[in-house]
Amino acid sequence: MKNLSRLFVLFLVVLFIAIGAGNALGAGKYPEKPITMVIHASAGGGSDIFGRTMSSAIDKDKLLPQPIVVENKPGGSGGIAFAYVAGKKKDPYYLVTAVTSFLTTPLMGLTPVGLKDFTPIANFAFDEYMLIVNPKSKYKSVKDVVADAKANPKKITVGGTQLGSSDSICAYLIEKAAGVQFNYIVFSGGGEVNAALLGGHIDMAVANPGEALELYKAGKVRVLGVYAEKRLAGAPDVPTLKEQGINAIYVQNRGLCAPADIPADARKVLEEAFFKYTKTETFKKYCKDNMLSEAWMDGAAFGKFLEEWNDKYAVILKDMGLIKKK
Amino acid sequence: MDIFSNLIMGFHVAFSPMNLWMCFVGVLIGTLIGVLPGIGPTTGVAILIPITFGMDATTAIITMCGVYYGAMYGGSTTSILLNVPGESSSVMTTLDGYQMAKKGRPGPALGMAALSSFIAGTFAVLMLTFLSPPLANYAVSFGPPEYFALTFMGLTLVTSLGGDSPLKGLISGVFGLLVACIGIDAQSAVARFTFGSMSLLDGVGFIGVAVGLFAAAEVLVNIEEPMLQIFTEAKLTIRSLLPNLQDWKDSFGALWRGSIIGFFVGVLPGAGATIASFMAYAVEKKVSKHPELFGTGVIEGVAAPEGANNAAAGGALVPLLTLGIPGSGTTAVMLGALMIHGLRPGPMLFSSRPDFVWGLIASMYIGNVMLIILNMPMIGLWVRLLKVPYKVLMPLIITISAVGVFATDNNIFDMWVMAVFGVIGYLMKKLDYPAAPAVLALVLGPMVEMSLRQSLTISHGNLSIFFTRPISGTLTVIAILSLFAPFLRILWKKYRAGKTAAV
Amino acid sequence: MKKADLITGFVLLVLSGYVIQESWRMPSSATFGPGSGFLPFWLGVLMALLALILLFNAWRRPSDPKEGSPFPGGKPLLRVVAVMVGLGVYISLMEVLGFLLNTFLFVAYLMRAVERERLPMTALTAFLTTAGLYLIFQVLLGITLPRNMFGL
Repeated sequence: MKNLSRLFVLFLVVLFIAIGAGNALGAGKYPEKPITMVIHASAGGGSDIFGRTMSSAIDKDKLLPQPIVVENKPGGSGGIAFAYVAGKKKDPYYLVTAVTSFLTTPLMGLTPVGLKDFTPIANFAFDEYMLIVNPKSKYKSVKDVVADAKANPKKITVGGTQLGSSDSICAYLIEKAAGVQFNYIVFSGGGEVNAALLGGHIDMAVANPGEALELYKAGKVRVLGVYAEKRLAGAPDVPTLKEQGINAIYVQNRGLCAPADIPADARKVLEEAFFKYTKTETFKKYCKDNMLSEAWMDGAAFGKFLEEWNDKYAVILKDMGLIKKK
Repeated sequence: MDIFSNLIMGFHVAFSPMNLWMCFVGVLIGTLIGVLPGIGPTTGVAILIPITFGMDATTAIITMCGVYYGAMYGGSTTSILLNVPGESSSVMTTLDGYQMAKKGRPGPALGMAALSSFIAGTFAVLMLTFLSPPLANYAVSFGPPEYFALTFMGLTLVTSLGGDSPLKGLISGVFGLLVACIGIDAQSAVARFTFGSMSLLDGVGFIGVAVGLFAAAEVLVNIEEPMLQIFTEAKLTIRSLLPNLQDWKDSFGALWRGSIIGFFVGVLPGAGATIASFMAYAVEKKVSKHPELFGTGVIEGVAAPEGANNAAAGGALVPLLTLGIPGSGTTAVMLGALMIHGLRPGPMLFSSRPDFVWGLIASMYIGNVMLIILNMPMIGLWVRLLKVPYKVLMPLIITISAVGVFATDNNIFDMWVMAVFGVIGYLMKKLDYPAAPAVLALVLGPMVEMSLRQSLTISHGNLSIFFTRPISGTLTVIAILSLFAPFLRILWKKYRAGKTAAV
Repeated sequence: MKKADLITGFVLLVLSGYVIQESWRMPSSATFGPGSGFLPFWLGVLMALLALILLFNAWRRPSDPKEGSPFPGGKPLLRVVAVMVGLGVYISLMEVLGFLLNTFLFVAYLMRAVERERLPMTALTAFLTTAGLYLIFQVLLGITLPRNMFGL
């Protein structure tokens, strides 16, 4: 009996040491628990698809020892999600999706947090935008549009989503580059913009290829130009706006940020895992299916990109009258 | 005959064991999601996205559509039994459904909800099968002026939803419109009545308001006196569980009017099942021989909105499948999910992936049958829920409503919305203000405002845009007539009275 | 109802006053057509009008001494307030206590303090309600319910 109880004590001691050692060894090893990726938009939207595709690929290909859990926190043009993640300062177990609204929402004063409250982790891809018209439209190229707009200022209607969105910025970029003025009509979603264009209720619309490329292929819309440096892989016969003499270039980035001041090693682990992810078949297929161009940037490069665009947006939004004087 | 051979091919696809099984799983999960308050089909489909990753695209959408119309079916259950709207499109069902339950007729109410859902759902699939391409043109024919006319017409129906006092109905409606103003104004990026709160930038969540005004308020009223059960006098025989012949006679007109209204409103991108159910109910009350009985537990008041919301769910698939344009929040999520599967709905979908489209359509016929088989036996079970002592039921209603409201956006703020509107709803109930106009106004308000401003921007401020276009002209005139109808009626009566007095 | 209508009318009048004042500061017109302040302003005016009609009707109506207040007093009122306050506390503590503990305590409070139920029944209902909700929402539907700092 005595032996047995001694054995038991010994067993407990060994167990105790083993657990302790495990903890000590594991302490430096990030991640030890699932990472939460907060999506700033509702389920089913572009950012949601981005996040969920990624989380499933990382789980499937074992790119990280722990899974990434997706959580939607929509609302306030992303402000709710940004404030939520910014509040997790120093905690490397939170990530938030960062697209245009990541910069524009703070600039418009809709959320108290800003770029300084985050650690940029990586950028994955760019969304391109394009200018579309109804096939019955008299506009065959952007030149026609500009000529008509010069003759009839504020007459041509352009549909898009709410003021401050990528759509509205795109419309503004042409106005600025060509020195014209459109009549921007706000709709509550991309689908409704396209429906209004097909029905001939508006003259033009700003759309991203994911929304409009099928309509283009079926001949239901005509694409006047894309807001990119070079032509899209999915639509090589469509000229860029730049080719047509309108210097309007716009991309929406798709990236991830973590709260400010996370440990450097955690940042490194994430960067490496995400870089591997961009080399997977899943990611390539995701980009192709959603008409995105791959655009990998690590944390440092992404940080610079964000700074640069933050300044650009500040100017654009101010011109559009969307930055409130404090 | 092309359609029939396509449909037969579709049934081949849909009858594969895997698709049949997933369709069943879909409608089952959908029914559960529908029954749970707050959380509705949009959230339900979104939750399912990760589960469908391993499937092929056809199976995935069959599962998601199962969830979609399963949720539409299930939404009526708690609306009728507990006055808790299962989702936004079953708010109208609470008005008469719950009163029927209180009067000891929960069975016929549930039965009629299920059967009208089945009939309207099947009607919608038939329309989808035979009329999709022409309907696509109809879907885009509605521009901002037409939406304005439609939603403005809806608003004029507000007064007809009120109780005894038109004044209180109007006050409730204007209150709803004011609540709708809260949030950032998309057209000018100006924040209105947000009190500096970030959570209010997107406005007050509709589902939180509806669950608060109906479910939470009802609990607060019920709690005043200790009560045993919601109803006591019911006899639970098989015959009392199903609608009787008289119920069918009463509901027949409501059912087909609801189906047609629901379907055509559902097809329009930007309207949707909630508005469809409101319109169907209001129209039913207008055409009824006994409008004063609406809200006291008439079966037409259940058949019309339930038929409409299911038909609308089918209608919303028309622009999605023919144009790749989602017609509702739920179909928008489905579009996203399809894109994950590398399938991109658009005008060419019918020709490029007929197996997919027709398989889906065939599965909707099957799913509707499954739902009716699944739901009819459940009625007996659900009705027993009302035999549970109220003191056990009460905490369950409160917590399940709170969590359901939370689950939509994972936001605690929505729980606060529910609580605050629960208190407001309690006060309104006590002071005889009807809640339905406020809820209707909350849904329609933003659409009326947005389409009005869009139209005027397009026309450069010229009001004639609402009258010169055929559809919007007709609807606007109807709306104005219905707005002044009460006054005209009074004038007419006075005129008649004066005439008879003179003679 | 006379007194109740007078009070409601007054409250609505104050509300519409606030709405009118706030919307006055918003742009009332855009480039074409009405701006963001247009609708709230006119809604405020309409609400004020309706409130005045309500007040006028109530004032003109003779008060009925037999008619009591529409609101309960005494014990029933206490029960209603107890549920309201309980719900408020429940929501405030959601992210502090986490869903599981918080819901258990809230249901127990409703059963015990509001319904005066016996302890075993209270504990059983609280446990079953919490477990059921957790099972449906967290396990079956995969929704992340709030947790406390210990991850529960």
